[in-house]
Amino acid sequence: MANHNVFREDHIRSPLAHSWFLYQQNTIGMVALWALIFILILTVIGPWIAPYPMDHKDVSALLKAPSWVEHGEVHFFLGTDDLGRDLLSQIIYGAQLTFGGAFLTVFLALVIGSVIGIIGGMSSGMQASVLHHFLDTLLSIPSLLLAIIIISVLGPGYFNTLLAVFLALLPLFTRAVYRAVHDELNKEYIIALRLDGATPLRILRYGILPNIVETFVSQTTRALTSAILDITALGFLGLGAQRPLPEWGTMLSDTMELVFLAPWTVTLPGLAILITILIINIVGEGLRQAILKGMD
Amino acid sequence: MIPVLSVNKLSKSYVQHHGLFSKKAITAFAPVSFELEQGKTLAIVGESGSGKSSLAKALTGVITPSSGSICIDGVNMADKDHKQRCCQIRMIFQDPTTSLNPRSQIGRILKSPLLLNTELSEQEMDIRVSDALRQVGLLTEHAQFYPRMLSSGQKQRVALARALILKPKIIVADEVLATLDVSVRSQIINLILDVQREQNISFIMVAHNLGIVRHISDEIIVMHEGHIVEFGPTADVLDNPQHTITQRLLMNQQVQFRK
Repeated sequence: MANHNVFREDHIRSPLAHSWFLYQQNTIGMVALWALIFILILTVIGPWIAPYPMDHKDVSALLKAPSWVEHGEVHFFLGTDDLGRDLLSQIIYGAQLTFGGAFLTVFLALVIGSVIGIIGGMSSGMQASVLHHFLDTLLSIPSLLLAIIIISVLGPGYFNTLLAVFLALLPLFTRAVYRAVHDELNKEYIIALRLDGATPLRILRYGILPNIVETFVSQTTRALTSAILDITALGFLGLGAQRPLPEWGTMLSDTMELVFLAPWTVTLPGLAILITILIINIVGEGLRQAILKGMD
Repeated sequence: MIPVLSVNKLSKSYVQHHGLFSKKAITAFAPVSFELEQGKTLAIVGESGSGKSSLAKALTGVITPSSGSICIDGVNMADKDHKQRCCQIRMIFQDPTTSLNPRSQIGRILKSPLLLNTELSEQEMDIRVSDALRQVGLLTEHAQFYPRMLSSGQKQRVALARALILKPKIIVADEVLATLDVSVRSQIINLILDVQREQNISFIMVAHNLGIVRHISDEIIVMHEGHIVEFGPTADVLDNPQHTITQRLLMNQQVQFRK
């Protein structure tokens, strides 16, 4: 067939579009991205597609094995636990509590922390110092320990867990964004923009924000991982969500004594945590590398 | 003839804190005064750390001077903000790879000073941008490009176009030739000389290659530790250096050339 593209015009991609193009070449990354989208959809529409209601207990089907094992039944696809609750439904509801909760917390921390970091980074002197070191003391305590302290004051519960995780993440975002903005401000193209008479808002919009996307992406994925780990760890320790809430960490601790009798009740929530964290990390690292490569 | 730029007792010093109570004042450059006529080129030379870059930055407003005045056409610029200043005096930075925003198209980089300082319509701005690009020897199509697609010589041309697009009276160039290789360097020098002849712009070049300085500049300032040690027509100063610093600079570079 004749080639109509005589002049072979190359389409000029913007750096971000180029980064996305580079990411699409990364097969593992794309698989992980689709898996992440699947988890997100599951989190949103979980209650409508779960086969059983959250508090449904079937006393005639206690400790049923998953359906592919000899005594399993197909209407309890992943089996049941010691109270006859369907594990598949429990894990689907748990996605909302563990992944959805972490997602919302990270999103809030990202927005508020970034705003504080950006205002701090753009200002100078006392104001910058106050905003930069805002909540700095929280950084000296490991996030899980901090969460335990907060919960020991407020009492255990799912909402308090989210609050604790939010407070632990906030200074991380503030710090990272402050540093990124501050480093950017000293670059020559920002000085050039300032010499053009640009307002700080314009400098932020066209000069700084497009150049610190990498910080946002890497910081968000890291925060998402640590939020999921903290929420599940607190649930596992009995300080976070309490049964009957099917939070993945709570499910793990609830069925620990059944590990020899019914190993699937422990393994499956554990696998859910593992896979989710793995997926987030693969996507985050892939995006970060694609953005860095897209720069040059 | 009235000088387009007259600098009067301009100085810059920093205060550095050591501990809680002790302070130390560091002088970037002591009060300097000089004048520049329209269409002329002034070169500022000196060792590194002599304050020549700080002087260039103070002239364009990147740093605010501690004292003194900068008058362009008799109007004092020292107390004006960037917006009023940038239509008169523009700066080209040393390294073209860091002075262009890697996330902006060339067209947008060139358009932003117009957007902020003129009342032109969208089409008029596009025309100005393509004119400026052609003036520095690039194509109109380069407006769609991102800086990473250009070579460093082309980037420096874009930086020159950004300086020219507001039709300023004075352009301050801070060691623009230092990072370019020899062939590109001579292209840029010729380009600057052409632009100067066409538009009658005054240039202030911070440089350290005395060969180039002799070729392009009309007047020269030799700086040492923040002070002007010698100031005069380039040919006179370089042929008959009075101060030991000038003699040493000349000797140093002659040794380089002899090798």
